[in-house]
This record gives sequence, C-alpha cells and structure tokens, in this order.
Amino acid sequence: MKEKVMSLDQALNLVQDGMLLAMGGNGMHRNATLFALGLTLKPVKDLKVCAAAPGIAADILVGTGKADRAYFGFFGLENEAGLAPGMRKAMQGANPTAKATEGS
Amino acid sequence: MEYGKDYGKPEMFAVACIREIQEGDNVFHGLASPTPMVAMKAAKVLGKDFAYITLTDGLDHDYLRPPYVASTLTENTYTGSVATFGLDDIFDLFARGQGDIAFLSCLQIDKTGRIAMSVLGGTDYDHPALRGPGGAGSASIVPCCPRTIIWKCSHDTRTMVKHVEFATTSPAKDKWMILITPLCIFRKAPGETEFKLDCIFPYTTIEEVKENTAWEIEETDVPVMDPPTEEELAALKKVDPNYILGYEF
Repeated sequence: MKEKVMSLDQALNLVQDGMLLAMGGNGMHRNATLFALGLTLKPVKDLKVCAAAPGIAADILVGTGKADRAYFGFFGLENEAGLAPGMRKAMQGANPTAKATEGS
Repeated sequence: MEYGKDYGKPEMFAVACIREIQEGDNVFHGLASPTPMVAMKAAKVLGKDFAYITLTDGLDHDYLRPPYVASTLTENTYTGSVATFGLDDIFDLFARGQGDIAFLSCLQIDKTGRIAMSVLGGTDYDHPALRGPGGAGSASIVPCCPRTIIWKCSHDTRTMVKHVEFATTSPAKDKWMILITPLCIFRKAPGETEFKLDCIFPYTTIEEVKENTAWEIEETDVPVMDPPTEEELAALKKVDPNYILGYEF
C-alpha cells in the first residue's frame, strides 16, 4: 500500500491519453474531485471513466470533454444537486461528445 | 385526521410505503431515495420487524439519528449498522430470491410497468433529448424482486405516460409491481401484464387520477386508503425532525 500513496501531481502524471479511470465515491460523496479538476489542466484526452454511481468528479471530466465515454449504473448528483449537468451536456442532443454505457 | 391540517401528500405517500412492508421482509432502497428512507425509518419506529438494506452497505443502521440532507448515501444510513456488506451482495441477495421489496423510481412509467431511467426523446439511445441518470441496478433487481415498489413523488401525464419508448427495465410477469404516487396506488399482480388502480388517497378522486394519467384507467370504484394514523405521523416526525420527507414534493 505504501507505494500507492503519492502526491496529487504524481497521480495526475500517471494518466495518459485513452486511459480508463475507475472513479471512487458515489454521487456527491467521497469523490476524487481535486484529481478531476487537476486533470482538466493537463493535455490528456479521450479518457474513459467507470464507476457504480459516478458523480461530481466524473461529471467534471465528461462535461469538460476530457472523457468521451462513461460506464455506470447511475450517473448523477443525488437529490439536492440533481441530474449531472456535465454528463447531460456531453451525452444528449444531436451532437454528443461522450457515450454512455449503462451497466444496470 | 384532516388533509392539509394534520397531514399532506408527503405524509400520506410515506404511510402508503410503510404499509407495504410486511413482517420479516428484506427491504432495499438505493441512492437518491429520501422518501423511502424516511418511510423505512418510521416503519422501524412502528415496530415492523424487517431488514433495512441500503446502498451505503449498512444493514439496520441506527434509524433514530435524524437525516440532515436528502442524500441517502451519507453516513446517516450507515452509522450503527449491525452488519456491513458489499454492493454486489445486494444484487446477489435479490438474485437468490431473498430480497422482498426494492424501492425504485423512474423518469417515466407506463401501464405495463416499463420504466424509463436512461433516455427520453431524441432520435436514438445515443442522441436523446434528455439523458437520464441510468437504471441504478433496476434492470438486475426488478426481474428477481417479488414486490418491486416504484415510488414517484409527482403524478402527471408527463410521468405516467401511455408508452415508454426506451425501457430501462420491465417488470417480471410472475411478480408484483406496485406504483405509489401522491394520489394513489397502482398494482400489477403476478400473471398480469398491466397496472390496475388499487386505491386512491383520501384527498383525491378517481377523476383526478384519470386526468393526470396518460394511460386508460378502467377501474370505476376503488377503495380510499385510510389516512395516516396519529401513531404513523408521530413515527414520521420522530425519525425526520428536519422534514427531509418534504424535499421531493
């Protein structure tokens, strides 16, 4: 486990184009939000995200165009924040920028 | 009990949920489910002997600790649990036939119990007018669940539609599906393929239910559910002093 502990910058530097990222947390809780925000500042692209219930962190990546596919059971921010706005923007309408793969 | 004075739609709705729970049931609700959460906590206060299973992976948490937010993923539905488990265990429980009730919801539902949670409108699955949050496991649980309860805190023709175009899940023919709305309860019995209006709540009429339902309702005479009792209202207040129950209405 010790070798898994690293700084945010070190973790961000592990990410390469096209990688599939398993996102921790559920909905608005226990999300890797700073990690997702950090990735938006990196030149990586074509990421994929997966989680049982991706929330705010995955929403940032899909909504900013960093991720082009999400694998999920429920993608949302729960009642008080509602549907995930970045995910909806990227995955609905005539010209979506990301694909949804539901595992329900 | 007087509607609007002693209770309103949220209380009647929650009491309808409580009354569905039977002794010995294994009952599940997932995330984004504040209404079933409050109802199930209150059912515990009323002494119903059932297992409270939720997505925080806690079994029978300390239901007397009041929730402060409508999220059902907080420690509020975990702290004090008598056992913990993994998410996969919930699906295994239902797959092996030991789950009894699953409280699930929807964006839209039709008379056959087909539920939309994935997409609405648009040209196809990849180009919807509205991208929904997804089924949250409903397609896995519904076919195995003896009594799926669909809870929907709004009742209008945009929600209770004539035909769901893209169904995230459909009911099993050999199992119950129960639809609870702020106005009434619909039931699809095992062996049947469509909902029947089962009862209406004290403050509405069959005419109002029909006006707000896009599918045809053939029933002309159904019972009126008893209003909440003082004991039921007291149980709701005891577990929910911050009135999370009102959030979805």
